[in-house]
Amino acid sequence: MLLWLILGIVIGAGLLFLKNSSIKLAWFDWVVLVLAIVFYILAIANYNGSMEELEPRAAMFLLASFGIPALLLTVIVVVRALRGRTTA
Amino acid sequence: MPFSLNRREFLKDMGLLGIGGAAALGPIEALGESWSDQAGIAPRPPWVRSVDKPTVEIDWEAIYRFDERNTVRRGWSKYLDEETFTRLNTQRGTIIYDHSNAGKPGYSVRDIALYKASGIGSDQSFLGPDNVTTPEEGGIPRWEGTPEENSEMIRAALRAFGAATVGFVELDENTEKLIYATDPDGKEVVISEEQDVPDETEEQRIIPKKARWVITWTVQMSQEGMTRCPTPLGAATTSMAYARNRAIQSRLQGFLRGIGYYGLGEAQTNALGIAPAFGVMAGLGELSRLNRLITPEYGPMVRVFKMVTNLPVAPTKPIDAGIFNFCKSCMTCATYCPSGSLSTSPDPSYDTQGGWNRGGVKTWYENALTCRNYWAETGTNCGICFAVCPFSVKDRALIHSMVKGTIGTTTIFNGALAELSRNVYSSGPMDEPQKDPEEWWTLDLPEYGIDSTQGHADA
Repeated sequence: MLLWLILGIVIGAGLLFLKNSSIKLAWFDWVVLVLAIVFYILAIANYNGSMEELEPRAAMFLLASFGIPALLLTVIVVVRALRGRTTA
Repeated sequence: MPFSLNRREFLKDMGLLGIGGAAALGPIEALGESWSDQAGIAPRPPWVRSVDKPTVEIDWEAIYRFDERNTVRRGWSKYLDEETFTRLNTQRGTIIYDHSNAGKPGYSVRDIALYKASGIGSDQSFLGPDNVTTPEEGGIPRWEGTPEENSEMIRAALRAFGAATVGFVELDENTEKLIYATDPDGKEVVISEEQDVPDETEEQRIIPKKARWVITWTVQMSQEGMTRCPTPLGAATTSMAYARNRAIQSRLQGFLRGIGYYGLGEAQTNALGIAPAFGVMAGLGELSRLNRLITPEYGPMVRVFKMVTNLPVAPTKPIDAGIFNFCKSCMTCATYCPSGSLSTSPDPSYDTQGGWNRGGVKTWYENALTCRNYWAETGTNCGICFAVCPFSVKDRALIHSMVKGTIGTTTIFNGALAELSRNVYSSGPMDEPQKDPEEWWTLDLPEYGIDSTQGHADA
């Protein structure tokens, strides 16, 4: 439970920082970012859960299955944000 | 850039922070575990739906009260010629020591000792212990409650005694046929309109017709134990569940006596009635390709038990959690069965495999004889089919709720999910333990190797 509380605070603080920083995101960037966060949460939750279940193979599989899409989505948002900054 | 907020912005941003927290915590709650039904009814996620008829098709006209001695469990010898039976029966008793001497994993002296010791426990009987004071003997009125209150009370008592999930069946002209005609020891089980008091004689066990309710419950088995099947280490899990239940049954009989009623239990293992059938009718789970009960909470990692009582209880309905339909796409148990005893037909059928199947149910009938014969090769009761079942998972990873929710809602992903499960979880060789038996001795497992919080709302 503590993990989720900390993760919630970190995500909230991250969103807060983004909103108040000079980085400007379009509405669909926010959608992609939220989707990425959901995938990160699923990756962490399932990895942890599977390790607790003594299923390391399943843990790695689920970490990759949810973690890789999360990373890809994050990269999309970061690249778009950097491009926006360059062209601004 | 300076980081400053006015009060309005601060309150708005705190809301954002809250959304972040909710996003992190949300999935766990939204996907089921905290969902609960009315008081006294086992809390279950919304994809476990109560239905009027079981998901398995039953032809009640074809159902009759079965003689338990026709099962291969008790009647193994009658399906083999004398020479084969004698050879296999002798082999079953000695082969674990041969495997042990050959250094086979899971057959060490400590594995065998654990297996043999796990079956030790209390006695069990049809009428139960008589050393609990009845209300009459104590000079107090007996318990009187509504059927719903009684169900709630029995469920709470059974959980305290060590059961996992609890359901109730009312005996009618159909469900009465699920009581065996003859018990494993050859005693006739009589449902008597004349007698008001249960009794046991040399030849008969008498159930008064007034006792119209069957309490049905599951006892959890350890996933970590079963994944060491078919070794003695794995088989210790089954023995332990039966041994635990003998105590649970006696305690429930004592409890019923203590509130002024009676409970008629299994005189021996698998006596009284057909356990999976009562489990299905009580909604504890669905019938499966194993031709055994698969529960939404523990998959097949349970043993199922039953008791007839005169305490009026509120029956629970059968369920549809998508399990029976999933079995149509999933062949994992049949694929991994070392004796090829389980059906690989996609669809269930009324066709039986031998005299050990009573028939009347459209299911996947197993070849119980080849299964039992294989036990002579392991010296145990195998159990690989239970261990590899995709539903035999713990509930720590969120993915299980997501997958079970999907299976309970639609059938279109069943094939893909079965394939995925086979590749991620059922990774062991075909006729050997899925997990290393030696590793089991190093694990820090909870009591009985089970997570008793699994499937329950209140920890």
